[in-house]
Amino acid sequence: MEYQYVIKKEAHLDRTVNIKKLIGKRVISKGGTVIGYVSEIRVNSNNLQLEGVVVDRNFENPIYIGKSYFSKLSQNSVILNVELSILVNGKKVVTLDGKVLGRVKKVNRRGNTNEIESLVVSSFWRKYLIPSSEIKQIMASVQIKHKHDATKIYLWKRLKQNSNL
Amino acid sequence: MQQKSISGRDLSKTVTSEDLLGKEVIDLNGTFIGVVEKVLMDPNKLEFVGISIDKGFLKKGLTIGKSYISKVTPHAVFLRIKVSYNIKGKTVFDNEGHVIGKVYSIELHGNKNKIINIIVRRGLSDSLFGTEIVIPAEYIKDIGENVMLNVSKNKLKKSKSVVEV
Repeated sequence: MEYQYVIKKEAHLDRTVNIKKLIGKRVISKGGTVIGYVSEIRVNSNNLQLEGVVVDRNFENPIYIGKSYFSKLSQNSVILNVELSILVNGKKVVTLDGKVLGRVKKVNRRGNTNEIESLVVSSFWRKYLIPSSEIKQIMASVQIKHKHDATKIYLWKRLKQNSNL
Repeated sequence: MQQKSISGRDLSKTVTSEDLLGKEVIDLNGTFIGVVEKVLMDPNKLEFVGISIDKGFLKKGLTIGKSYISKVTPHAVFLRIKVSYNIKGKTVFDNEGHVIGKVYSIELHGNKNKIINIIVRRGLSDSLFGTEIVIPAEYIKDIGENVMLNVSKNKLKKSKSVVEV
């Protein structure tokens, strides 16, 4: 089909993506994790800019991801430029000397950004609060910078820090 | 009981085979590879050569040379590499999020951990590539939960270094 164009500075049709075709497409993180499928495309009603996408995940709450975290938008998928910090839940936490502290129970983020403020780590007996400054790397597991001296949260401290836990 | 020593060296900072056997092995990615099953020594030079890892029930073991071992800690053995064999079975996406297939096999540089090519297998329903394609390592952008390529599906088809099997 031949199109007639009425554009000023906007990109040519060939260099744009049909948003409608994105619905139902995969959302993939930087490392190839399939996060879910696009259920909604959100556009700013004032400046008509694409703001983000809502990602549907089976049996989990959907995620609204802002375009700042997009690496590429194609007809087939949305590829992100990060690994989502909210998906760190459940990962093993390992100290510098190889001891498994527990598993990540909750991720405390800075506002609604992808940046981690702290992690709540839970083992059979205890809970720990690991600030982001103590985290060495987050990949298949979470490695913390120090040996087994993470802050233990005793019952009386837990009552004070309930908001973070 | 204090032991007597005629080694002529300070052995206080050494480790024994007991310190290694049964310990978790963690690679650079934070992936738990398995547990140390054997400690390997050169019988002529009497040198530590490497370790053999038990990856679990019905899984093939893995032998790691000492040059790939970063440190031995009280709870685990850390590697300085991401084990290439772990890439098997991962889904391969192109740079637009198309599924190319799953990693069926890898070609390494001799017995080293360096990948030369990955062999990707597609389902019989896809007639674009046939059943298997050999993709050089230079096309791999990132390896996380899956494999992300830095080229598109179309470019792979045209590339001379990509071979259909």
